[in-house]
Amino acid sequence: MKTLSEYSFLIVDDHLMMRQIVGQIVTHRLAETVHYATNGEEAWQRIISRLECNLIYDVIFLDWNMPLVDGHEVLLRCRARSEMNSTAIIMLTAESEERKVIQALKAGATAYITKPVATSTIDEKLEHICRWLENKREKQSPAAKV
Amino acid sequence: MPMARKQERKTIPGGESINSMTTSSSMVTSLKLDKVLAQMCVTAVNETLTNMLAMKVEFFDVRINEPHGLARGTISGIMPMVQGRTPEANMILTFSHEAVSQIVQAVYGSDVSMNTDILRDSVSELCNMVYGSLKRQLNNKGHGYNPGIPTVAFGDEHTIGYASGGQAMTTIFKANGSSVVLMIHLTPPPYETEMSKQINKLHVQ
Repeated sequence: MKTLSEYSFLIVDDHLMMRQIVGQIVTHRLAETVHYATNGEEAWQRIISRLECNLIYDVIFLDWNMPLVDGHEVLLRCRARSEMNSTAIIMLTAESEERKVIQALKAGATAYITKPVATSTIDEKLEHICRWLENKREKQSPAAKV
Repeated sequence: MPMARKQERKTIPGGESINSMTTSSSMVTSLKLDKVLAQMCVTAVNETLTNMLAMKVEFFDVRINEPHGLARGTISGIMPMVQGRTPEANMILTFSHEAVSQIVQAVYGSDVSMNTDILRDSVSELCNMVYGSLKRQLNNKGHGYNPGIPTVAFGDEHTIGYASGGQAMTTIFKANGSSVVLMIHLTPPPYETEMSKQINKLHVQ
């Protein structure tokens, strides 16, 4: 199983419990940069602050229903920023309707996970995300391949 | 904390099968308190407590419209189940002190004190997840339940019952040996007013 030490994470959920569970999963796999936000507005502020320092989150776990700004809106704002094309955005939400899944994927979500979910499923999803990030990085820096 | 009422596995009182217990035709709701719904409740609780929290969950009993079919515990999450604009039922998820202690320890570690904020947050999110699973299963059967926002109630050995004329199904579990109860309480018919019927009709159109 790949370690996550080279990636930065933002976990956005209004419930401490979910932030804690997802945080434990990524830190268990040695992720070092793990930030948290309790709503969409706080998440967006964190994302912007990081962009201002030329830093980009590699992976964002995003709940859908949150106060102030919801997860879908954060997703749209992220995808409107070209710098964030290679950020993996995982919607992790209790919203399970097909139209919501389609709406999220159309808006640019990299993956969609419906709560409740087994922690092993999140782990498996992270494996896919790691490969997705590696592919993105290779494409963005072809010189490195040579 | 001792259980106030010793729970024993038993059959549905009066020899009624779970299948035969349905809502009356005058009910607003199309939700039926039957074996199918009971199985959905079992799935929802299993998906949440077993898959997410690695708890060993055992189905213990189901009680339909029993005077003693109360949710009893230390903390409860109450979620309105709304189709269109009509509140049709409440989903009540009740944990014993032991059960919620184990959950908090599993998620936050044993050195975290069980303060009110952590308990409220945890039960609220568990309620969201159980309801999310139940909603998904019901909506797959043609229902159209909306997302809800849970309310959390505290109180040692509190009980949550149902109003006269209402109907309720109580599904009882043992999670790591501790009591967890999921109750579905149908909203009694008088709560459907002419106004709510018209609003619901408009919403469907």
